[in-house]
Amino acid sequence: MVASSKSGQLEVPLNWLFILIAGGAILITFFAFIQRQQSASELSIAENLVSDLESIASVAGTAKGTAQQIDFPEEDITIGCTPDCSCLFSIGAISKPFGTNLIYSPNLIRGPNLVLYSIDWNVPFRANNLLILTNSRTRYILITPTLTPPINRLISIIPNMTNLRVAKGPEAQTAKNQRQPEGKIRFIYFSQGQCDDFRGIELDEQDFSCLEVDLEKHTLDFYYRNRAGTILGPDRQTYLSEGDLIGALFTESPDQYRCNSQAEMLRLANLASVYQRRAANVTTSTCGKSYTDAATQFERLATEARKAENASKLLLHYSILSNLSEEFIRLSCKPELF
Amino acid sequence: MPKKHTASPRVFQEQRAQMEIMGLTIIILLVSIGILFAIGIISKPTEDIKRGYEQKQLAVNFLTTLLDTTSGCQLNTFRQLLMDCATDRIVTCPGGLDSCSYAKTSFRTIFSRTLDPIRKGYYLSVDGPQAVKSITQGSFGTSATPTPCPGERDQATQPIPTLGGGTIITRLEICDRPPQ
Amino acid sequence: MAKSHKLGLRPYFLRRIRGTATAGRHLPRSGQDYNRKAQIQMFETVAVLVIFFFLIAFGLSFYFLVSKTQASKEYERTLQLRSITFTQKIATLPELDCVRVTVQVERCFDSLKTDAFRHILQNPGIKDDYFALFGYSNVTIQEIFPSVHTYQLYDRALPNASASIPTTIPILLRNPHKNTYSFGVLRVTLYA
Repeated sequence: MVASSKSGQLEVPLNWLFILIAGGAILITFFAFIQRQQSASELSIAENLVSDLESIASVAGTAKGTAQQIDFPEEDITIGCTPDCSCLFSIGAISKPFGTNLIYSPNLIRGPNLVLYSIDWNVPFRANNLLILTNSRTRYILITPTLTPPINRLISIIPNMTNLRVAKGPEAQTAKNQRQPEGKIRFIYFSQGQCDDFRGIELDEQDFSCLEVDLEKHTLDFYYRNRAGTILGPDRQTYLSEGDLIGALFTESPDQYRCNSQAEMLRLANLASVYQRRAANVTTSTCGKSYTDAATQFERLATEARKAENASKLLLHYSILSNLSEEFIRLSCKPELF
Repeated sequence: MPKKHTASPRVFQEQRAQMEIMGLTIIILLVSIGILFAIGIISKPTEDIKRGYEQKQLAVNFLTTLLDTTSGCQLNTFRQLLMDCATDRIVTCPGGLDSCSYAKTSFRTIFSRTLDPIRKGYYLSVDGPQAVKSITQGSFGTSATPTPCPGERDQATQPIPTLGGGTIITRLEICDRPPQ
Repeated sequence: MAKSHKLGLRPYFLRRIRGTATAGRHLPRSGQDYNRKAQIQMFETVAVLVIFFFLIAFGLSFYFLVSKTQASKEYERTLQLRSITFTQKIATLPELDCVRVTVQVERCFDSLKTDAFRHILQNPGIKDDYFALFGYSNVTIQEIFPSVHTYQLYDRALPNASASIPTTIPILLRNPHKNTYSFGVLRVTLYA
């Protein structure tokens, strides 16, 4: 009786011990498997989102002059270029290069929506479609004491859904004190020396950027905040036409603007070569005008665009071609110049 | 004291065995259902986005492009030829053909160079005044009486208003089934 | 004694193991009986565990098979989307598009520009510039009516490509001299 009771006492705890060990091993296996699947699933979701974003950007970029707002999950989309022009957009651990899309955007966009606005880049012929990517959380404040015709034109082109607001007159003075509880704010001035004043004002890290535009000299001065909270700038760039000026209004990073400009110039150079050859192959026209001069101008434009050094020379060829085209249209010349 | 009625050990063991068998049966059922689901998912055909998009776009783009093409008959587009066919038929095309015959022959040439090589069936229906109906053609039926696509198809429709000839309705069907 | 008769048909060894062979009398079981009982119980437990893990392995292998199938379907879907967006991009290229009095005409290519573009793409440097756009693909424009002509715009094959996705869309080919429109097709083959 004593022996059997001792065995019974040993059997039960050993049984439970065995159950605990086996059960523990099973649970650990399952938990490890679930953890792994969870991280794989997150990667898969990020990959799908990035692919979808790439497709959306590609298709939106083909439809010029359109603005649309789409729902997007509440994920952080990081968009930017390195100084050597490796331009990527990322969600989580997944990144994809821009490809041939020219995207102008803030550095960080967070859902729940995306605003896509595509515009022509006409120099003076359509050379590309530029895509502006932003969202309703990012505010753009265009500050000007008076509304001149060029500024008015800009405002009339840019759709309301891009969250661009104009502060003019007395409101321009107090616009600097705007605070943003969440999201980003970007100030745009049409005079020099305004963005420097922000150096003394406390703003939340990375929610601020500033741009000074000189409409006469076609220059852009970018001011932005680095991770340490220091305001850097001015980083001076130039713009050729309305399209890239509008792009600059929405781009925080001067590197991103510069890299897009380089891509634009290369495209412009090749396109100008196409037009040059086209003009050179025109043997007869309905209005008697010669296309040789136009072919020469296209060739010079292509050469300057490849160098991408001198914005004023590019602007000169741009305006000569623009005038030539108007003349050809006025005289109803066929084929058209472009 | 009344005797307690308890199950005998034998009955208890039989019940326990039945419960075990029931448990095993449930497991087998669950595993079978799981396997069926898995087979269902594995054998589900891939959603063909491209084919759906391409076919739909092909019908719409083909018809619009066809009608905007310059016919080679006095610099008229096919749209203008159809309008002439529906009304006065004053246009004379190369080879002495009228606008209706020229359009029909040209459409046949275009289809033979585009849809026939890629084995896509089609049915072009031109509805309106009697004269334009003769332009109707397709890969199914006979050349005299062509028939619409059998089975699945994607279609596009374009109305062409005319002055005094009513409205011509052109409809192009791109068939899923290849031509006979 | 009457009770033992009722139990008499049951195999003796079962009754021994379950302790009923003693017919209700409380007699001590032998060590051998305990060992045998323990062994059988262990065997049962191990057998259950083996079957359990076998079922788990079976289920996991099915799960991975389904995941693999879904991943390959997703890859196909991505490829198809890529080919659609690629074709749309080609169809709206400024190097090819028709412009009439500064207005872009949809689904239309300028034949003079097409020929010029084809020519400049023969320059290896410029062909490399357009690699970011065209990638590994074949882009051909075929004039169908009234005349027949082929413009082989770009061709760069991918060695050991696992898939080639052709897309065809009809387009107008504009002759800017005469302002006439030919019927043409744009054939794009994407290699992956």
